[in-house]
Amino acid sequence: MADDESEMLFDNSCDDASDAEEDDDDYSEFEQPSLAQAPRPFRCLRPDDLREMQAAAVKRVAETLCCEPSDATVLLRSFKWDAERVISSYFENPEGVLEKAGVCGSSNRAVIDAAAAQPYQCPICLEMVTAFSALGCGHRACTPCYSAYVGHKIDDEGTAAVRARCPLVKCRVQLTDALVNALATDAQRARYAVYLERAFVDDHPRLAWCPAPSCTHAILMVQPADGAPLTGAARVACACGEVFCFACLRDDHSPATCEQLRLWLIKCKDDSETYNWLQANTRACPACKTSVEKSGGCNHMTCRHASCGHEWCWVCAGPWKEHSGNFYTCNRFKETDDEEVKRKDLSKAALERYLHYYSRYINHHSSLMLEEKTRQAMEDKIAEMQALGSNWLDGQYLKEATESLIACRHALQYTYVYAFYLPADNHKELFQMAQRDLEMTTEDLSAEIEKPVEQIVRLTVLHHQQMSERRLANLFNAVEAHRVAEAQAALEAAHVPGALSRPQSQA
Amino acid sequence: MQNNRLMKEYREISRGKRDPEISLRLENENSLLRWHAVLQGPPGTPYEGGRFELKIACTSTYPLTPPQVRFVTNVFHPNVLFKTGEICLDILKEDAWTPAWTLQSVCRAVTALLSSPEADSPLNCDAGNLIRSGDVRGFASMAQMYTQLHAMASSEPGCVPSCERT
Ligand SMILES: [Zn+2]
Ligand SMILES: [Zn+2]
Ligand SMILES: [Zn+2]
Ligand SMILES: [Zn+2]
Repeated sequence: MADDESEMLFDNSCDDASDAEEDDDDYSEFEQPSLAQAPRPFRCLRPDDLREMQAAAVKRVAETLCCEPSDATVLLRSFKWDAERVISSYFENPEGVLEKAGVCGSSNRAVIDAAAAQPYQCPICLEMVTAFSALGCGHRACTPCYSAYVGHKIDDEGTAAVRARCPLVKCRVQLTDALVNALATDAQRARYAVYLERAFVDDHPRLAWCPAPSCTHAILMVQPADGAPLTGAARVACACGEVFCFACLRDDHSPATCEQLRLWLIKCKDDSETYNWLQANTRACPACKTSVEKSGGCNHMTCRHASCGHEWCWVCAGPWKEHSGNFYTCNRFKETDDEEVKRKDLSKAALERYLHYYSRYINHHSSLMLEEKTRQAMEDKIAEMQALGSNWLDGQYLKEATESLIACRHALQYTYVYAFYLPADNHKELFQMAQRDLEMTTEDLSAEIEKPVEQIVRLTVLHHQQMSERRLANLFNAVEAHRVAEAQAALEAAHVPGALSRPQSQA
Repeated sequence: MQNNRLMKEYREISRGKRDPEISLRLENENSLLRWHAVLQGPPGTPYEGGRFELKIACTSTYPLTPPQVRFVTNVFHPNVLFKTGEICLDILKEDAWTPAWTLQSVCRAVTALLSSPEADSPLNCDAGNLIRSGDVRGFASMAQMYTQLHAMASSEPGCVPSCERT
């Protein structure tokens, strides 16, 4: 029975049949990788599920190694809760494993509040005593001192209490939960249980707490069938509604990678002072200079000043009429080919390039900040429609459209992070086309649902919504296809050096 | 228990069960929490012949929490901040401290630190860099110079501008 029991309890749909191991160096075959776009399978676990999962792992190790459950817990903790690895390592080198984990063999049991035959000096209070408690290492301390020690670890050292050791100088044996629970007060025991659970999730490489402030759930990534380690960003959704990246616990940032986002956020922080102005919510109309406030998320601005009515793009301040159809070029940063300009001021070019991506990123970002407002506005509109005689159900399509809009904007902000770090090549061209398409329909959708109630045309909304969703999927497919192709190329370069050296040997 | 423990240590120390190279006494008779120690520089090190004064401050949670220990005498050593005497020693930190350490054994650990500097976690970068670059003799002569300057009874602690390095 080689299967991870803790896994079996929760995973019954884990059959990933992706055969990445085909050694076919026949590169004339053009087999497109299947783009199921399936997110990596994960599960949302409640506190009870976590306890059950932990107990199952402890039981498996304790039964296989014939040891105390509390020793099994310590062993598992030092092996990041990989029960199978504990077992196989133990059978290879039992002493080494016990020593490394700080566990005493099963022949040396912990003793709780016994009486010594001869008085001895307690190493903590320095009194001559007979009562003692000790871990399997046999290092005695009087029970009141041992209890005070354990209590101090729990009360004052937080989660670190989980890794507390025997109080004797230089002894590396770990406190077991059995000893802690025997010596701690009720309140301490309860707190210790919380720490154990926290440490379980923190130590387990495929578990992460949901970052929502009051949520008690954790996400478990299902082990890939080939046992490959988890790498890279993974969008996960908690049952509480929180959507986040499993790998970095930040906001879901696809298509950008965790590393790209990390670098990007550092860059933004460093440069934020300089670009604060971009976040300001008012700008002058390019035609009549009247200041116009951006109230919704839409970038299609119309000057309200009497007789002006100029329509322009919030992002680039260009006329809006250039932003429809193929004229929509607002998303691209034109890398200049002019050698002279290039040489003239490289750092200025770098700054401008960053500014280009940043302004578009922050624009979608701040549009999202108005998310709740947008949702509320939509509720109000639906109420207004009802007042005009339509029933409540009729208005629901607006809600769905709003959610689509938010999803598109969410992805769009990170497309600029992704694009910022892309080398100027074919893929970047294709990506920016997909990005432009998505941005156009997103703005169309935004504009349509921001209209006054009586002007909203349901079919138009549905059309823009469908287009947006399709283009969002296209964009992600393009990113995924590129990622798969790059990974395959890297794999081929690593595994078939012959294929690379063949042309050279002919020459 | 804490005060009992310090009382116990106080009694054992005054009963004369002590190391010859360590002298520990209360800073004043009113408090068991503040101590003063003098360590003899270990023989065979650049600190040999020096008298190094330490200030030790315990909190009411001692021995569950480590005491604060710092050098009063200026020491040129990679794990001691020259200006303040702050010491970087793992057993003085929460996670490595255990209540089985006593003030005596802490002093012994500080003496041991004088004999075997840890160049990889330096508080005094000048000292750390000398050792890491392999210039053990350069380090030894600097440490010896400061020992003579600050830790030898014969020399008055004069102010040499170049010693104000950190
Ligand atoms: Zn005791
Ligand atoms: Zn022990
Ligand atoms: Zn949650
Ligand atoms: Zn991430």
